Amino acid sequence: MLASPPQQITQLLRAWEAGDGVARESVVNLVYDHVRAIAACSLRHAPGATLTPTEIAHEALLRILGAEAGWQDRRHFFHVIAQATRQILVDAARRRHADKRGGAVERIDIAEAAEQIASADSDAQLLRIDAALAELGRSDQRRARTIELVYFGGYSRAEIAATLDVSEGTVDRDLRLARAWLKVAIEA
Amino acid sequence: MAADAVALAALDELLLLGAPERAAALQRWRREQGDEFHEFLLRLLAADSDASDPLAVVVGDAMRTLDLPAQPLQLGAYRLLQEIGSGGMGTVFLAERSDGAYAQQVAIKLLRGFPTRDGMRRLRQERQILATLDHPCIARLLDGGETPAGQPWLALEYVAGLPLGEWVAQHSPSRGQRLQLFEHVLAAVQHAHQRLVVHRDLKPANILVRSDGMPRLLDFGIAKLVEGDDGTRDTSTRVMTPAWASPEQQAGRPITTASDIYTLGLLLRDLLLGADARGGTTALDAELRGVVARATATDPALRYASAEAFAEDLARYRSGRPLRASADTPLYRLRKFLHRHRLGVAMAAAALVLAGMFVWRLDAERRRAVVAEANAANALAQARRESARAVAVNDFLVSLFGQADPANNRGAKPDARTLLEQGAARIETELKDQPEIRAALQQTLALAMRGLGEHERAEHLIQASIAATSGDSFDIGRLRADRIALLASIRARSGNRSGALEAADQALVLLDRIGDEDAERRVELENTRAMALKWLDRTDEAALALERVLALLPRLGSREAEHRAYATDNLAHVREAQGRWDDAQQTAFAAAAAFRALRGNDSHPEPQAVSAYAASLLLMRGEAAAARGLYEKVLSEQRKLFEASDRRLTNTETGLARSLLRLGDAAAAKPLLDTALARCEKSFGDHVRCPLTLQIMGEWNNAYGDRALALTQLAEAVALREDDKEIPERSRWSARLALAVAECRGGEKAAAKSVATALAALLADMHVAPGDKRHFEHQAQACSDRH
Repeated sequence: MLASPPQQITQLLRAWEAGDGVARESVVNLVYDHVRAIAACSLRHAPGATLTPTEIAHEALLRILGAEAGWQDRRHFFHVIAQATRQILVDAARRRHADKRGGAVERIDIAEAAEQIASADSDAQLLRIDAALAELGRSDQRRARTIELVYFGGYSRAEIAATLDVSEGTVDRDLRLARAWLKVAIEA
Repeated sequence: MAADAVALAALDELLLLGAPERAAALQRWRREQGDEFHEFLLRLLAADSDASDPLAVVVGDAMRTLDLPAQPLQLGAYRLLQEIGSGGMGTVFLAERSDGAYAQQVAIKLLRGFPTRDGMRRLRQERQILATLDHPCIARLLDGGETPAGQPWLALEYVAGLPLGEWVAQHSPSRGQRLQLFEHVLAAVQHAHQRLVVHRDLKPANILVRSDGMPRLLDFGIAKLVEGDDGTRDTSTRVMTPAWASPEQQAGRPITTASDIYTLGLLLRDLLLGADARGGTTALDAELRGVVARATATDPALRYASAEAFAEDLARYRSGRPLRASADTPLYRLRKFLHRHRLGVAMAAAALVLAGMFVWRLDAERRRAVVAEANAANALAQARRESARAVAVNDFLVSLFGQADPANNRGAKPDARTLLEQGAARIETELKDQPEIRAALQQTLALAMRGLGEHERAEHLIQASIAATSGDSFDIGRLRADRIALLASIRARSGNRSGALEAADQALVLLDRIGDEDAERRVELENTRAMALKWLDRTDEAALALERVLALLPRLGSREAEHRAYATDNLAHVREAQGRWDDAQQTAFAAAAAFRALRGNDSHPEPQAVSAYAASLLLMRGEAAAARGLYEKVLSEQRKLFEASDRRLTNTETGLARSLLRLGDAAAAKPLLDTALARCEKSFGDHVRCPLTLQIMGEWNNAYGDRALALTQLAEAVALREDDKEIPERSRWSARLALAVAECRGGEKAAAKSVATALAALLADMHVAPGDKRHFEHQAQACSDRH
């Protein structure tokens, strides 16, 4: 599953560009699997051992496309990878959230309990962001993507500008607007 | 909410406006979209001006708490049993062999991150190096590999023991026990440093004390595996523990063995001050404070040169001997110099060359060493320009240097040669696919080999490097010229003068072709050519080359003074070889002055050596009184500079004695000759290295002392001269003349003819100066007077 020859990927990308919806889905699934494998093997709960979205994105790109991939192909992947990372984080939060609602956990350690509550809060917050981001995407896809690329992809503004085909100034403006909008949306 | 698009457009507009316009626009939106919309805009503006970033916080939390159940249960031949720790480098598991080969528990370390293909290859190579660490106090690297997903892992010897801090707390060791333990730690670190492995992350948690009281160091060199050595990670992702990291490490500068020394100093202080179970600590007296201070000096050049030197001082302390002074030794100054210039390939190679010089200084003439230093510095200045290659090369050499440091080898036979051989072998296997970097390293190793006098190896390496340097660009051309120039200097050093000349010519042609006008390169090459030409007796061409050098000097800037001194000195020798005695004399005085200016004063071996040469010219030209005065000055300076056993004193004493003899002061000459000859006999057991001194002593005995002894001494001097194929014929004739004159005085009839033959040969030789010719005639007179 992980050893997808770059050539096959390139073909899928071409098909996707030509409007093939199935091809897009294949690419997205493939990226998701890769990103998940990367995260699974290295993200441990120890502080300091955490990979950043940038590292994941970098690694996923190398593994899927290889080092020689052209810029056009990379650009396509930036967003898919950021989406995959977002999806993986949201899935995990959703699973934990469901566990906790089950209420089967006995708590004896106050510190641990406090941490659990904090992380539960954080999970709920992530789910709210996910929903708000989906809503933003419906009315303003570009600004939603900017947020995904920044926070879940860890890309630089230059990379984002190239991916979305806008100026870096526009990236800054979009980010400022979308960030304010999301903050208000998750407070509500 | 279809209003979102409108709200975002409104916000976009508002953010571009100044405060008064913004208030007006808000009122407009209120009129057009109503109160609720206005309220929403105010909240958006508030959120915008609030600097908090909940998204970043939440994503960071989610990354940290992500718990995907995909940990592999089996790696290579090992079954993972349980997680036993995790940290900046990755996660550690206790594991056991699952192939049933034998029962063995190991620690498996899953390293963080996913290296690229290049990174993975480097990691495998590095792993091979780590696997060679074999020391009872270092936990062994047993195996390694990658998970199916590509994450690297290592299998390490599993050590059951207490971390250093807990051991102190539980066992209440005495100060002696603590120091003893620490000396074992130092020995282990020394072992690794000698194999070019730097720990990079020493800390109490990485030192376990086993139940037998012996320490075991964990994770040697692992930090580098995680970091990678391609320099692409920034300081924030470097593996280190700030509390124990050296200043250079914290600043993200290159890490060397000196960085480990720093951390060891902190560890020693902590170990001695650490409270034990009874709450007792062990105080630091002034000497131990001195040891810690030396190890933890901010400037790496001021620290102990090696773990061994560190251990030696502790051993001295334990046995009550005085600690080694950290005074201003030549070595200290060398390290200091190296430290100041450590950017790029340059320094590291100079380090090796200079280290080699120090180690082998008994074999090498001081002046040759000094010239080598200058050449090394030049070659390095060139190398510095190749910044692209610099990082890889530097890394490699810095690690080699830790070992080549002469302080590591004081007393014992140093094995820097072996080390360089290993280095050469390493780049053969490891850099097969990176010909450019390999060629750069071959160049640097050639330079180092040259410093050690391994001319054949040096030539072999630089030839390989040159062969790998081809291309039409200016940069490649220049690089190739630099490497050919190094070949020329290696050949010059090994005595292959025509080869040196050929290479130097080739390099100059290449520089002309690419249009490189760099003066320093040309100065270097013209110097090499001049020396080779002089040796080939093509003295007029040699003089021309040196004149070109002198013409280029004003373009050298800050290095003009240095090159002027060497070029002038060389020119004096060439003038002598041309038989232009007065020019040679003036030039030698100018060279001595140039060296005085260069070194800032007279009390330096170089100006003194050149002055001694000027004195010898005075004597040759027949100015014996002036020669005596200058020799006396030189000798009194050299006695301050050198130990009484130094061979350089022999040359000056002999020269002074010759001057005195020509002035008829036999009484003053005698003690000088006695001292010089006794030193020679004591140092070498024979007279092979001082035939001239022996000859002059024989001449003295013949004229003023024991004539039978004179005959023995002169016969031996002649035999030594006959055996030496390196010297010019006139030196042999001079010895033969002295012997024949003594035999003649002894009444041997046939000797008169020998005297005449020798004298005729000397008078006919254009390389014999007028003063010497007069002296030989005068000497021969003693024989004809009798007959």
